[in-house]
Amino acid sequence: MSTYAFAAVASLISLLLLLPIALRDPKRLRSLRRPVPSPGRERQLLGWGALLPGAALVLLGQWPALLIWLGTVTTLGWLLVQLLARLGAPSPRAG
Amino acid sequence: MIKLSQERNKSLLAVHGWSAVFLGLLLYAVILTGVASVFAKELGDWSSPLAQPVADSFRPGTDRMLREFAATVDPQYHEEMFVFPRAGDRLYAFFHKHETDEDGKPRERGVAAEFDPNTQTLIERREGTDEDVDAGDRANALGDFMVELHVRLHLPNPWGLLLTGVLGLAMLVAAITGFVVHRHLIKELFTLRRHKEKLLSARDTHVIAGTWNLPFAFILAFTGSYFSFGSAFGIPAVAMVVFGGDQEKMIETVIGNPPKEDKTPAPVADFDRMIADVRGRTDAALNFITVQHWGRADSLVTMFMQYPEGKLLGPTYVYSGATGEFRYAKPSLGLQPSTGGALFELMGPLHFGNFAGVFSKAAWFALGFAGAYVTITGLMLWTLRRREQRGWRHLARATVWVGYGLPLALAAPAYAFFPLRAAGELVHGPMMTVFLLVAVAAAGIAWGLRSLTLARRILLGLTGLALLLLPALRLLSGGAGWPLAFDSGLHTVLALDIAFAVGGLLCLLSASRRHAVNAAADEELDAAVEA
Repeated sequence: MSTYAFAAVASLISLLLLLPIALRDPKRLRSLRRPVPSPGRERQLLGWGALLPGAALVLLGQWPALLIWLGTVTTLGWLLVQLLARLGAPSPRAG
Repeated sequence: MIKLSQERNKSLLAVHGWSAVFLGLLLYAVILTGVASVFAKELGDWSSPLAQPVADSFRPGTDRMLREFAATVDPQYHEEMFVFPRAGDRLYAFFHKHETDEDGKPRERGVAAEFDPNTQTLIERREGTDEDVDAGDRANALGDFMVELHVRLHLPNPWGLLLTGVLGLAMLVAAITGFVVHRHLIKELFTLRRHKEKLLSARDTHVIAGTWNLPFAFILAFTGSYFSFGSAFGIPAVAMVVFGGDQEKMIETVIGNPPKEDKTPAPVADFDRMIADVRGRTDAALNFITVQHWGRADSLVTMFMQYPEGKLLGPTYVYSGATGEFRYAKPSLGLQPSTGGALFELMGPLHFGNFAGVFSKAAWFALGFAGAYVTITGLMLWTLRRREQRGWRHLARATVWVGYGLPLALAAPAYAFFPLRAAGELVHGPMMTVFLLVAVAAAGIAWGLRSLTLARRILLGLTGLALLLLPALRLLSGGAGWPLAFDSGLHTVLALDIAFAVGGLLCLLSASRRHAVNAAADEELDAAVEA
């Protein structure tokens, strides 16, 4: 498998695991005045799970893929937060 | 979460804010030009492509090309030569000797040439010091402009390097203090509030971008400072202490390639054979060749390879320049592999993001962009918090000037570059003039208009227009059209034309929106500044 393939697969797994954390994030939902799900271990498990692809790349010695994975996950993670904020925010015209 | 007393938290927050306030605008400039510099080579490929894409820069016949060029060069410049592909994959070769200028600073003097590797013919020849040779360079001018601004803010050595080194340290300080004072790093990773509480909204915008960007803020700040201080201070200091000020001698010793001196004239070995040999030793592509003492018995040829698939370190091989015999594989420092040498070598890929082609560069581009966003949102947050104090209102205007005016000023030099290059004129001076004039005009807009929102929208709109028209400017200045570029396989030309057009449209779209979702904080700040 090439560097790109390793990086793409690892990034996809991490982002798929980050998505439910972001969607069900209690503080984010509270700020939008939406119902907050009861706390469980799910968030922690998903969080650690999102880091596992990085650990796998370390074990495989795929250092360039590791750096691309880290860059992709942090950039797309940030953009995901921006997107959710825009989708959840009240219309500015509404005042 | 790091637990700190309220007092300590307050002190660290002050360090975080003040370090950014004093250097934040310059830091933003360095980061933004760094973002552009990630694609400096592609900027050259886009602005100055050859008629056909180059499949192999060092194809058979390179030997004849270099040999014929060497025969036209004064032998005093045979002390050293390097050759590597640059804009459009032109082969750039520079025969030179080392000397010191009037101030005792080391410089190179010699003869440079650009070749078309497809036809293996000379495109251009320039002579003089390394500075003279660079001043006459047109093909790489756009990319070099960004790199020079990023590396030393176009200031003379060593002041520019020292300043960018300090800016790197300021970024490191801001990243560390930001990490320490942020009490709920993980808990607030997804919390970006967009409502009436303007300060909260501005704070979240800055903190969220900063948190996600934190690992790379450390990496880029550390490696950037390392490069700046290493060149400006580290090398001269070590040379002064150990080598009596002889930087050349120091570099030769540390790099570990000091050939035993033998001035006996000797024929130069066949480069095509050495290139074929080195390609049999690794699957990495050949990137850069240096030749020490061309035409002497002690001549050494060093071949630097790109990063092999799946690696962050590229191999280097050394040959005898007189016999063409393979001598040894060489680590970047010394002659034996070492942890220090590997760490030294890692600085490059970690800072430049060039270790895995266009995808790693794209990731570094995005990360740099996020870093610039963190810097500018931090400054906006600072001024918003102090909006009642008149003195800080100038910083609010300066933030708009640099934050939105600098991208416009960076796009503007292309409007001097393309027509002047087409007319066969020198481009570097006029590019700098246009950059400065647009920067001054942007300052006029930032301070001249009462409404900061309007100033921001005008600057963003002009940036969008400047980017959107770049492909047309390239075409009107004699650049390859899309059908020709597509047929010839000049993919970088097509890709960057599209990227500039899309970037320009996004800027125009953003500038035309009257009610941005996150405009509340901006409007509050504007109201205070305009009062």
